[in-house]
Amino acid sequence: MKKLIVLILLGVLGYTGYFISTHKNMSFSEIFFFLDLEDKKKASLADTDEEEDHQSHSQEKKKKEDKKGLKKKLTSKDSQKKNGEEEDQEFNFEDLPESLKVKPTNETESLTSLSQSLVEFTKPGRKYQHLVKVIDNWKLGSKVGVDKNDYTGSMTVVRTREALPGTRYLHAQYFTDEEGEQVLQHLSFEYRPGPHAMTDVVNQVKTLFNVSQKPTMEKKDFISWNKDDGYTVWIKQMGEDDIKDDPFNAYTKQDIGTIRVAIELEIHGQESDDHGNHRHVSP
Amino acid sequence: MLLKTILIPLFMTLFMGLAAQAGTIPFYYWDNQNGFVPAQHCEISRTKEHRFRISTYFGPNQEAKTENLRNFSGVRQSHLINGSLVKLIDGKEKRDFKKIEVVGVNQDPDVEPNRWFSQRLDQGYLYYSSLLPVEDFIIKLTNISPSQQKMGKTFSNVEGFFLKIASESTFFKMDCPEFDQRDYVIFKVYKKHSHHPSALVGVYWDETKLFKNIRTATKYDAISILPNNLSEESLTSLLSNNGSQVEVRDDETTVEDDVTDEVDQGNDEDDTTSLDDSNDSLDGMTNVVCTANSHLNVRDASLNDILFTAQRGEQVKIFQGWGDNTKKKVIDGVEYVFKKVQFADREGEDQTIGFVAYNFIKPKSKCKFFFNDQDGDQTVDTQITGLDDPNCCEFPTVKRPTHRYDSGMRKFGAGRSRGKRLHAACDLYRFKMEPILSVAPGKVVRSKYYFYQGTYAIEVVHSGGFVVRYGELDKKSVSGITKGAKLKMGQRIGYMGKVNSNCCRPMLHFELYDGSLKGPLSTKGNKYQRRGDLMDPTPYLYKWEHENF
Repeated sequence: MKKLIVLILLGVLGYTGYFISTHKNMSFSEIFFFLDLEDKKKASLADTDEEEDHQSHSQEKKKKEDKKGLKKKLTSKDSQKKNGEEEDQEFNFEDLPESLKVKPTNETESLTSLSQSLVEFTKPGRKYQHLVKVIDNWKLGSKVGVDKNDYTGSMTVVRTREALPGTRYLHAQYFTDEEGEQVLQHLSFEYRPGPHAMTDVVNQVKTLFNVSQKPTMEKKDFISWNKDDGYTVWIKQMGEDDIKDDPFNAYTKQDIGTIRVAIELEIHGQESDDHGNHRHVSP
Repeated sequence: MLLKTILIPLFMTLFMGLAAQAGTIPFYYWDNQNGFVPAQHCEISRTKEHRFRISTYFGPNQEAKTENLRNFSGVRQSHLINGSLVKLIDGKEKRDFKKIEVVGVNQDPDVEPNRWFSQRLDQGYLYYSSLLPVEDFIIKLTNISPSQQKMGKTFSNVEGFFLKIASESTFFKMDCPEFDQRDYVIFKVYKKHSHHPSALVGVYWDETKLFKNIRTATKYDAISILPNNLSEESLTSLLSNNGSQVEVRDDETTVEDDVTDEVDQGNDEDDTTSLDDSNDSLDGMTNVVCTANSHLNVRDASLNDILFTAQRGEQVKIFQGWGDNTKKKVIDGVEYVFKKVQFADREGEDQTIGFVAYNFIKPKSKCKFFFNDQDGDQTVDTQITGLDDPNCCEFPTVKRPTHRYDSGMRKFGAGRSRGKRLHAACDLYRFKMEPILSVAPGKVVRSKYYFYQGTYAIEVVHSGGFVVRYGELDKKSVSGITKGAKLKMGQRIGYMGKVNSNCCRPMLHFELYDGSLKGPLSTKGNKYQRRGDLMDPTPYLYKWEHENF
């Protein structure tokens, strides 16, 4: 019996030592907290390949991996993944607004859901992995590409294979630093052209962002609001010039009038000393 | 005696020459992807007009070597070297001017290049008197890239060949059944000092890569090169000797190929492992034509007719969303999926969109058949040690900014969002679509990405390790400026953009970092919301402006 107790203690100590060695930056209490969470840990995200292709058919994916003989590499991506796992414990899918949990079935619902995503994923603590979960829940086939270099770090692009009714080209850009901190730099989607398309989109965005103040900038085909968190949300009705030469999206001339909705890190502010043909509205 | 020694050999030579001439002149049409494509099946007919012109200076200065290429408002955008080949394009009408696109810049050795030179595919307005008829010139093909040379079926090396548009009372065009919407204007192809053309090549106005690198000369100046060019044999006689008829041809419908060929090839493919296991690119986001064969048929919406063919490795963008972008076709009892795609890099507008079998579209990193085929125009890095090197650097815009970049909201450190953050760059105001230049030798470390309100940014690490983010670029790309591209000082890397909101003039948003830190340039945690090695670029811009202008 004594031997058994000693063995168990040795095992606990050994595991603790392993854990400390892999979480050097964590405090004692954090380690204990984490250890507690370890018991309740759920299944992790998909594989660590730089191009993650989240399919809804996990068996098919496992078959592919077996066939290719891929193994998970312990890279900085893994430590990001581990951080992501930790974050997942704080991210509760059920807490999301209803429009992000249920797949839209028509254009109006799509517009609501995607506009909601602009609100939701600019909140502190939101990661690209969370966006991917929403996309996968909608069964749109998320595509994640990571662009890394030794000089300016990592940018993660999230797109989808399929689109919700009446919308398309969901696109997100996240910068990730060496500590795994993510910054959403750009999130956008497009809404189909139509006689009331611009009005519909503007009304939706106004409602969801609870925009009571006047827009920061307003023209016939463009409107924007600067938020207090350093982001700007803008809506643009795209003309012929706007649909040319996009590096990511395909267009034809029939797509003139498409509405692009985006939230981005603000660069300029509106304190410009040069004015175009727009109504310049003070915030 | 005279008959035997002179006249008979002379007649024999002439006869053999004519005999050799008869039935030997090959026809081709030019395809940007496939090079010279045999066109013996095409018919030749007359046409009254075409879009090609040669540029020249018009004005009082007899020594001028260039003409101004302007925008619609009359603002000069660049200098176009005299003798360059251009084409008329559709656009807003402007009195006394024609809208053109540069097809090939004349490589005149007497002209000293500078940052202002027009480049191929630049668009703008030329004064109508600055446009000369192309039939008064000969065009020499120079600097043919290795990939273009390989594409030639008969001509293993067309470098040094001369082209002259076929013209008599009219011009001529080729009508080929596979492209019934296209008129291929006919050029005669000559070798140096030859009296007769070696071939005929049809060139479509919207596919002109053949003329990427050229030298031109007037036909009068070219007498020593082409002795017969002032009194050459008419195309009609040439074709008669060849047994061809010159007539107006009625359009014919395209014969459809059997689609089973192309889909059967797909059955050999299995799930492949990417050859490129690199973790540091967006190659997985980029789709390419991925097929064991060199070509893939691109079909119309009915899936019954072939519009054109795509080459293996060509980049495609897949349509998404509303509209009929996915179709299915049952072939021999098996259902195949076709997707609507756009070919990003093609010039010809009528050959950019169609349907392809989805089996043959794969992310670049997952295509086992795709090999990078660089154009061979790799720039060579020069020696520069950093920002303080005496040879550093070039100013990033072609001319001085129109407004001061050290004052107002344009300056580094200017307040933003009611002072909550500070401006992380200098804003250099110029004009939309003006070229943006690399300030120093370097390498692109991040390709164009969405930056702000419809504009884009690229990130470059320069010699010596300092990093620049060139922001608010227009979406129009400069060919070859992608991740990994090596840059020369002063090399064009993009065009000036203008934000959607119209809050401000077109500008370059110029951010400078000393390179001592790693990680993304946009962060949170300081007032600039940038990485900690952000620098004030103002003193360097002063220096470069002073030295360059």
